[in-house]
Amino acid sequence: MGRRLGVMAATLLVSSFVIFGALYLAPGTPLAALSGGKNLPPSAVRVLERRFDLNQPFLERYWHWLTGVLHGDFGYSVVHQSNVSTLLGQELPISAELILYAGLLTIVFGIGLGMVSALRPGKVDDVVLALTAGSAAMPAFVAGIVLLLILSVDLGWFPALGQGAGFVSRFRHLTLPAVAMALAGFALVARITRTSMREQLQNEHVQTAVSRGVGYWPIVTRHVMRNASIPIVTSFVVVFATLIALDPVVESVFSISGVGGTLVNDALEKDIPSVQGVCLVLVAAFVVLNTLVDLAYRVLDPRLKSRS
Amino acid sequence: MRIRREHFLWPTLATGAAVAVAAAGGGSGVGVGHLSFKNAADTHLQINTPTATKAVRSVTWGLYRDVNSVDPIFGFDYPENTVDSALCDALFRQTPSGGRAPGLALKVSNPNPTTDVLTLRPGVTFWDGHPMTSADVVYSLQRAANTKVGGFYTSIFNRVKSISATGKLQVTLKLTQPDQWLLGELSSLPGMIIEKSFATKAGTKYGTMGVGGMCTGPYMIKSWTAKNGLIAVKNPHYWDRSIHPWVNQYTFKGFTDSAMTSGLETGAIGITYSTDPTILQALKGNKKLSVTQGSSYITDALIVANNKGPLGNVKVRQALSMALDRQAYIKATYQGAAQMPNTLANPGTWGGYEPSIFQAAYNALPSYKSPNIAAAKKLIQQAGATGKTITIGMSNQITQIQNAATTVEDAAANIGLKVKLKTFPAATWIDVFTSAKARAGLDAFFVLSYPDYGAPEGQYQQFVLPTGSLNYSGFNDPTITKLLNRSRSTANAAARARLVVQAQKLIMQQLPWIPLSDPDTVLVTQKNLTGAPASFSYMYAPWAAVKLGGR
Repeated sequence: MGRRLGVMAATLLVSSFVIFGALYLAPGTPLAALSGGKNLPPSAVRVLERRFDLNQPFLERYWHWLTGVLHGDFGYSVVHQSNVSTLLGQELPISAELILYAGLLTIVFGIGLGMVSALRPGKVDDVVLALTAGSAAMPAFVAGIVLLLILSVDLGWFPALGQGAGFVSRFRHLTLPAVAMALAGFALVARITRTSMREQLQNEHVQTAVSRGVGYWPIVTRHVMRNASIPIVTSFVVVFATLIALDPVVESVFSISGVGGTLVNDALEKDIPSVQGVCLVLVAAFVVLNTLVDLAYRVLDPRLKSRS
Repeated sequence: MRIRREHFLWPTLATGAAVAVAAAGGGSGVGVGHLSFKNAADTHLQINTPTATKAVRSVTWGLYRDVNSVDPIFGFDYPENTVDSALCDALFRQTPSGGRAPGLALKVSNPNPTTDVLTLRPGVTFWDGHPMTSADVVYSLQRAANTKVGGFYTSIFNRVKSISATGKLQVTLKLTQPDQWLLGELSSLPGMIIEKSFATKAGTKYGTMGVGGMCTGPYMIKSWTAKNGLIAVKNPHYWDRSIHPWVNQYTFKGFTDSAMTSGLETGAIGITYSTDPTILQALKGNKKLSVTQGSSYITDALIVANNKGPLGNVKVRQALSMALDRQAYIKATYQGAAQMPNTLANPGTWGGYEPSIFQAAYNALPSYKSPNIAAAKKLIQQAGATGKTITIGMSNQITQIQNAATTVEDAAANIGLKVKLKTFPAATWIDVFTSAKARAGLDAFFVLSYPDYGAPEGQYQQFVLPTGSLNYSGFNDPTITKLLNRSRSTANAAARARLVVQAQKLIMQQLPWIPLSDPDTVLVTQKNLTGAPASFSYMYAPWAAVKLGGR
């Protein structure tokens, strides 16, 4: 575990440096966002650069930011005129809810369809294959726009913008974005479930169980699914990684005020502290996710535990 | 005084040449002096929409991005202008048609030409109930003028020697020279009054999300978060008893172009002045929406940025201007929501004073209706510029700018000039205005700009005066400078207008910028909402917020 934390810290450090450097080198200044692009009077530029530490050399700025983070201060967003930690506090729960919702949809429908497809070769399997091929090929932002146009603008079944307040409203607001995000990952999970289950179905222990007259569902759940689950659970990492990566795009399409939409906007505006804050959280989420999956392996396959 | 910020997020989703426009108000029934000027081009442009009759609980106001400050002296762009106008009052109020009416100051008197004595309105309170006094006004103005505070409007005070309270409700400005432009600016953001005690306590955090602000306006901040935007509610103690806002609560929130469209179509957004012009026809065809084109202050032009290149020759500038097919450009880009320009100041800016003088001068100028290729070619030959290359900065991710570039390219090709386009991503387009490095090598680039108040000279001074904030080529014509500076000192409105008109004639011969179009203000509301002016006044005065209501 200690090694893991060390790797996580190193990953965060390197990625923060790379992101900071990339934004620093990119053309433009966050002050442009404040002025709407007009030439600011030199006095205003001087005052604002000093206030937001924009005139310091690169390494000094990075060091300033890094020491701040170590003391729990994520810096001040020039564009939002607010502490980054305050912004994260407001926006992070929304993105987390969206990603979890989309993840849940992906897993439930992915495994469900994968199972159906594995256990019902023939027409059902063909339909599922076609369906997953289609959904995997559809980029999330296209799916988002199509869903928005049909279900929201034309039919008025779902709200088009924002994240709503209160459980029911939030649920309604996040449904279309979650579906748009889930489409790609759901195909992956379904395909992996199908392949992995097919493989197990042909294994000797399953054949033996069948010949011994064990019932259909006990075979599927205890002998097939359990053994098939390792690649499936591994695919969850890819699924959640994809969802995190898709989050900014989908949040922008649906005007959801989570960290993703902010990330896109603030990267364009060169708001380094804000982008850094969001990226740290996202990178940390990846690392935590990997750790969780490793732990899950040990539960699913006790052999891994004894080996380590 | 600003440039339209071309906003834009997703190249594939929204080609965001947004024109937000809106305007100058006051029509019949508004009681703030409707001016019935018309010119050949924009007779159909409206100032007002039908009066509202019903109260509305809450309305979402769509901005092109979230507001980042409610400190008026750090407001420089559409979102801040819109919100500040609903929250704060300036010393003078711009009327919906662009004129100037009393605001927090009842009148200005001049014991001598270099002294402005402002008599403040009694009985005005801030949102917290504290009365507004001359101390608040002096504080606000000194703060706006102070270069150490770093506000965006310090240069408008360059003829001001001192600002002092000379009574509980009297403020005296001592000037180095008489200054009419200052009074115009005081009807805009730098003239907005904030509470001294609140602002001193807030320090540099005044106007930010965590602290908010303290003004006297008809709406006050209820909450402000990155998540939900800025929510403002009616100020129950508003000093102007003649104003009865219909809408109880506004949510000011930023949306991308595509989100703005779906928000309007689904009813999630009630009002906006910031729609993408390329979808105007679709919005007009939507039965649930009202789309109104109104007068505006915006000028759409090509900035000449280099007086050493081919465009340094006035004949080449004139030829290029002559050869542009503006009608085709307006049709393609604005779907009709822009007018043919005869000058470099939108006729919507005439409303401030003496529109008839400006109208006559406008009519007397040569029209740009159709291109004159033969005459333009001759000018290019006379200038010996045939075959020369001009480099133009553009962004092919912003539809309006791309169309403008194509229009200029076509014109240049027709008269024997070569054009080299230097393209910028939409996200860094802003840099051509703010960074000399980004501008290096450009002969010209595109701009949408507008003055802070209804007066053509407010527009011209930005790019014809040697010190102008948008004078990128070092343009310097002593006669024009002298005429404009004289107009700044001239109190008599008619005399002032005549000086501006003289300067305008020279400006249109010299063409430091080349006009492309006069974009309209485009107001889009849900069909069940009405009353907001369709003029540019939404940027400076509370009319849009207080007049919008149910129908």
